Amino acid sequence: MSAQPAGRPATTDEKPLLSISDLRVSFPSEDGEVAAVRGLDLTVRAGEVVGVVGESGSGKSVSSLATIGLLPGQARVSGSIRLRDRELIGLSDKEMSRIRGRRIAMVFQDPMSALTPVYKVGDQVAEAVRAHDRTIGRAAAAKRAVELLDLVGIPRAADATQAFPHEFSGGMRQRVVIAIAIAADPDLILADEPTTALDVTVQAQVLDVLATAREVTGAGILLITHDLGVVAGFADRLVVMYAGKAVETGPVDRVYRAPRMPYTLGLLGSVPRLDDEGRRPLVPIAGRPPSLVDLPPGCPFAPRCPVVVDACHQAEPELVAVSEVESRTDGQFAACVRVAELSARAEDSVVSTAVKVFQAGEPAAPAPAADRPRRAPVLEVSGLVKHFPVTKGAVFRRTIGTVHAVDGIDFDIAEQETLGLVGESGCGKTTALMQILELATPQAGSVRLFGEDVATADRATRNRLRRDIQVVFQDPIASLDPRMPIGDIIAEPLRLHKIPATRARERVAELLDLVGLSPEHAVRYPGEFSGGQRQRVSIARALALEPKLVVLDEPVSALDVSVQAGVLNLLAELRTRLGLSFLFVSHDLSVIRHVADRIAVMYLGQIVELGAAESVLATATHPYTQALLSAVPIPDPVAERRRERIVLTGERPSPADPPSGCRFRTRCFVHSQLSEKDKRKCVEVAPPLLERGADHQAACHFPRARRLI
Amino acid sequence: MPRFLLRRAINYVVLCLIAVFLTFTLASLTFDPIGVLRHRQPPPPAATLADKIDQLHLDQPIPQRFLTWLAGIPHGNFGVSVAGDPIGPDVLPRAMISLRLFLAGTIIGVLLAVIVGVAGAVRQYRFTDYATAIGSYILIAAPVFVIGGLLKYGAVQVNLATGSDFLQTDLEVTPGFSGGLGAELVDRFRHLILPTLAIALPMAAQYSRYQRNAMLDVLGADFLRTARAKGLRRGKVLVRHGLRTALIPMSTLFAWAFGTMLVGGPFTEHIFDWHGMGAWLIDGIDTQDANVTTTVTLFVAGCVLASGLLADLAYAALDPRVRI
Amino acid sequence: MTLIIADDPAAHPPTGRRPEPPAPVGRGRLVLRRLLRNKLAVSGAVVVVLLYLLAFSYSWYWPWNYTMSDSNAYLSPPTGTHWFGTDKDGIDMYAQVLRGLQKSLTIGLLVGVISTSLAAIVGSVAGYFRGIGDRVLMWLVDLLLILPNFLILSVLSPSFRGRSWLIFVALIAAFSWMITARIVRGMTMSLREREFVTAARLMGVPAWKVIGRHILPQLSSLLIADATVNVAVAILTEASLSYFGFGIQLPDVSLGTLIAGGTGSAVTFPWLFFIPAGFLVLTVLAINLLGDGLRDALDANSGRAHRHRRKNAR
Repeated sequence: MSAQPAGRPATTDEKPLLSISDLRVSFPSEDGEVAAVRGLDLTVRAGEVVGVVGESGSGKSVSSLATIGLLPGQARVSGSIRLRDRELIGLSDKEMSRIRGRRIAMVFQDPMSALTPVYKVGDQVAEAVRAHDRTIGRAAAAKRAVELLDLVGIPRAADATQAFPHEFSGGMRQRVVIAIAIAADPDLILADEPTTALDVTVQAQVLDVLATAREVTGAGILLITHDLGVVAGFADRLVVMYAGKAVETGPVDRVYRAPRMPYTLGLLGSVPRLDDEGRRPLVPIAGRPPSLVDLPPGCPFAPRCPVVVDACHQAEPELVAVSEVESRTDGQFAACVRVAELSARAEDSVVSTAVKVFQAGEPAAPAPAADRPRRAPVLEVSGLVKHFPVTKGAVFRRTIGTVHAVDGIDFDIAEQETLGLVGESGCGKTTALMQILELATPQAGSVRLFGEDVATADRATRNRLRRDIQVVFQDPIASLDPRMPIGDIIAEPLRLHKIPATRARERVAELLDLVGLSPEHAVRYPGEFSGGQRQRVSIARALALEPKLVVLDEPVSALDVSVQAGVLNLLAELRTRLGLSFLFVSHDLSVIRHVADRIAVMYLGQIVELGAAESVLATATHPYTQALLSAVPIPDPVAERRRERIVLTGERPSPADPPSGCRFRTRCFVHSQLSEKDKRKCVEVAPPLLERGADHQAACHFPRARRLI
Repeated sequence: MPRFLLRRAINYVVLCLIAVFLTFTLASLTFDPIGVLRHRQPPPPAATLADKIDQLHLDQPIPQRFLTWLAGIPHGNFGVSVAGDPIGPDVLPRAMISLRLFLAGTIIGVLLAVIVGVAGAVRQYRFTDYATAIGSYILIAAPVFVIGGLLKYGAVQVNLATGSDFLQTDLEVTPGFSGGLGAELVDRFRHLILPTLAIALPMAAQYSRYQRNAMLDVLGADFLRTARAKGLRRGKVLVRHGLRTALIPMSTLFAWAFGTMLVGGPFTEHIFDWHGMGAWLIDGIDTQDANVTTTVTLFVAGCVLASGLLADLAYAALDPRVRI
Repeated sequence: MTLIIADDPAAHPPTGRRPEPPAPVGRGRLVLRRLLRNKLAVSGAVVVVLLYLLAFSYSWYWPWNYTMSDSNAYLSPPTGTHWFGTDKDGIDMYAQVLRGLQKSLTIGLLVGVISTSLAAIVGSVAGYFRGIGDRVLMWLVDLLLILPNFLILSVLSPSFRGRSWLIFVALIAAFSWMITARIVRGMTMSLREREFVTAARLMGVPAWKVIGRHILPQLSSLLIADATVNVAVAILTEASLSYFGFGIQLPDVSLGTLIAGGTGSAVTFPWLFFIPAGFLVLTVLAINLLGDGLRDALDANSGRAHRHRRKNAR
């Protein structure tokens, strides 16, 4: 293993490790040739982290697969990819195999499917060790595998080598994939959305491991992601991709501070941020990325650009230096005909400029907190419990335990209020939500909707309640019947409640208009719409019967950021206009921050912190909430580097076997520093949810409020 | 694990018993062996008929007849045939004949299926893929009696052309053959070739399509990319990571294949004049013999269920995710 | 500190919501386009249509039928008068083969439709409601799978001898729906967890409406493809049973009985065996090619090609 110093400053005249120039990749498809990458230029130097950001379909993953030579056979590749002095395009599979792993390694997006399910993880790591050096014996490779697994932070690495991939969580598997990537001490690591499939707290851990990997190998890293926050904290330089081309590149600090391409500006303005001051409108970028088949001439962003001029339609702008003194490798470049017109002014933040340029509307006013006691509750949940039997084995199915998915939660939502329910995957938030929506008698505890206990409600009452509580799901593709025109989809609840057909038709038109779609769209099928538009259809369907409470299950997490902003703005607007209450479930605290009046934080089936949004975010009291807040990356390189970081250790325990006492204690950074006597309290007594301030409760024996944003 | 295996086995045994009972009932209701006797020329005397009725317990209600038949099984007694001979002594030799044929056929069929399927997937949309596809489709479209007929026709032509009689077109062994053990094995082998091919070829055709699809599914899997990103060569990755994983779903299919082959057994055995269980079934239906048909059903159902159990075990053995 | 636009943004007002790009091609058209590109499937479809035309039109122009004996020609090889020759009773083989083809195609089509409908109902009900009903139905499926259909059909065949061949159709159908039902059940179970079905359920849509309106339409293409393959299976089953004398009875003929009659003389009078066998293989081959082509065209739409495209799009 080379012992290069970490993060050493790269000098500008140094020869780049990787230089991609005019890379073009296209695929044949039903509709014609798809030009996935259309002339990409990019360099990575040794030890440098270059972030590639873009929305889905921008060609970022294709570029990385082209670099490692793993594109599917029908792809057509041209241009040049040079690793040091070696041209990679045109190499045979045999030659490329010698480079893969040894010189260039790759970490893929989905850790759940990246490891061969039938081999032990130790063997898979050892295979990577021996792939390029047959002189290493099996025993030596196995020993090296243990070292590598230890290096990436897998506890009890020697035992872990004997485990199969399915016995590991997503975060652990991603560590194994990283161990494989660094096994042969590569010069360059391509990380393709390495943390996208992971929870935020795990994301923080994995990014740390990736940083370690860079330190140990001294490799350059090409980090591909859609998350501007991840890049801000991790990358040295940034490449923004749009429609298969780089549209802006430069050092992260400069690009985040003063983007010169309107698309970059829009992206930065569209992300909800934890460090926003108060509520601000999010910047939606209208329209959707262009189809990459037969792209019209001109700037591909022109149809969505707020500052478009005639010249934009003439020819596609090339990347040009934003000032005359830019160094070729370290400067800031943007592909915009108006790049010269963009100048910097000190007093405006990027976000407020974005708001101005994209003319985002005013934010909706939050529900006034003061009169909360006077507003009637629409939903009261108390002591709600949902346990599942755990079955094991696909062949020999049997029950081996009980999942404590929801274990006694209490909260309520008042009229016109939004409660944000936050938690990582497996915390029970979706289960709780389904339990409420089913209107069935809960296993324990009670659910009261609009003052009516659902357990004792008769059929007619339940039917009435169903009209008043509606749901919008996460996945805009899965939640609409692909075989029904959207007019019928929106009309389904109306038909169910025997609304006459003519009235239903009118109502569908009204609703489409309300969510910003055109009434003529009613005859089209869901497949013809983009993700954001489909989510609008889902919202229209939920609003068809004029409900009082809308349950939103991760309504924007499947959408690209620029589209997400539009949907969030729409929800905020509808809420004020129609006086709705929302139960908004999300794993993303920055989204929750933008919509919620009150916040409930869930961990392993229990609510650990609950209260007014301002208070919970500003003075987070439960260690878990603090860890969550700290793990959410902020798309601002300066702020991100200055922040206090709490990286949780260990893995989330299984809800089938929750720890005794306080469920968070196994990962708690406060617990680990307590005296033995205090520790015992955490182990033995489950902390109750106690008042810690005005409308602010937390379930911790040793609460200490912290300001993390 | 043994407990779950046991539970599954018990479930299978119950299913098996019900299947056998249904066959017995159906056969007893529809068959009329006495009617066949009565129509003989010259008509047999009434006493003979009465004896036959007594011998076959035809005067008893069907459930009781079934129980009597069932009770005899542990003692190797499967009742008597219409002709009056005990069935028991015939069961083992006939079972061995059938198993020999179908095990050989299944094993060769599976091997061929894997090779052809993987070749088709790896060379997708190229000549190998198209050629194996068309060949498979034709074989799948041909029923076993057509394939059998063609094989016999072909064998006769080959024998004529070579002036030998190496390929035997019927029977499991030359009648009255005597010679040393080695010579007898050779003789049996000569008889085994054609029927084995008649089983293996259609099976390879059918399962190679599945194997191709399973392999194609795996070819797009992320873990193959991980393996190649390590720097392993394509061929090695395809076999070690791809085929190994693609075999998991196939193992279940292959195990079941053995069971389904047996269901088609009567055809193959009949065509090649083998005296196995399948041919016995057809004889049993011809002679209106409830005991013989039920005995064969029991054998077939037992084999199908055994292969189901084998499928489960193979799955568990190959896939660590379901191992206990 | 940041950038501002040098001139007034109001001079270039944001264009707001732009007209969407042209609507993509509808799913049906896409499937058709894929199917048409699959040359094997297209030729399969053409052959199936031609076989139907041939089978049901011969009596209009052919002087012989499948019972008439030509006393001038016993075991005649194919000639101008008897295109496919005659058998040992001097009966014209062309008439017999096409009559047999008629029977095979009709039985196949009926069985395909009946068994697929049965499979759709049983599978979707079992998969949607789960619980006891599911267990009972799946147990029944297991039982029917163990009971070899050949055995039951042949045991029962003496009792329907001489009666309508429609009973025969019903019996074949009754023994060929189980595997499709299992597939439908599996797909229903995964569809049931899809959010649009959950959405309908939570809205209070009654279960039978959810099945009819949201679940079966998703499976319709699979069912069509499966029905096609089931037609081929039914034709083979009929032919096999008839071959052993348990199906169609003389004087009526089917391809199975004709092949049975010709097998013994394959070497001496090859036309008696090879012509009906060739027709049987051709029919089943054509239907299978069509069915598999349909399945690929549909599958490509939802499964493999989709995944492929998603990967490429990044």
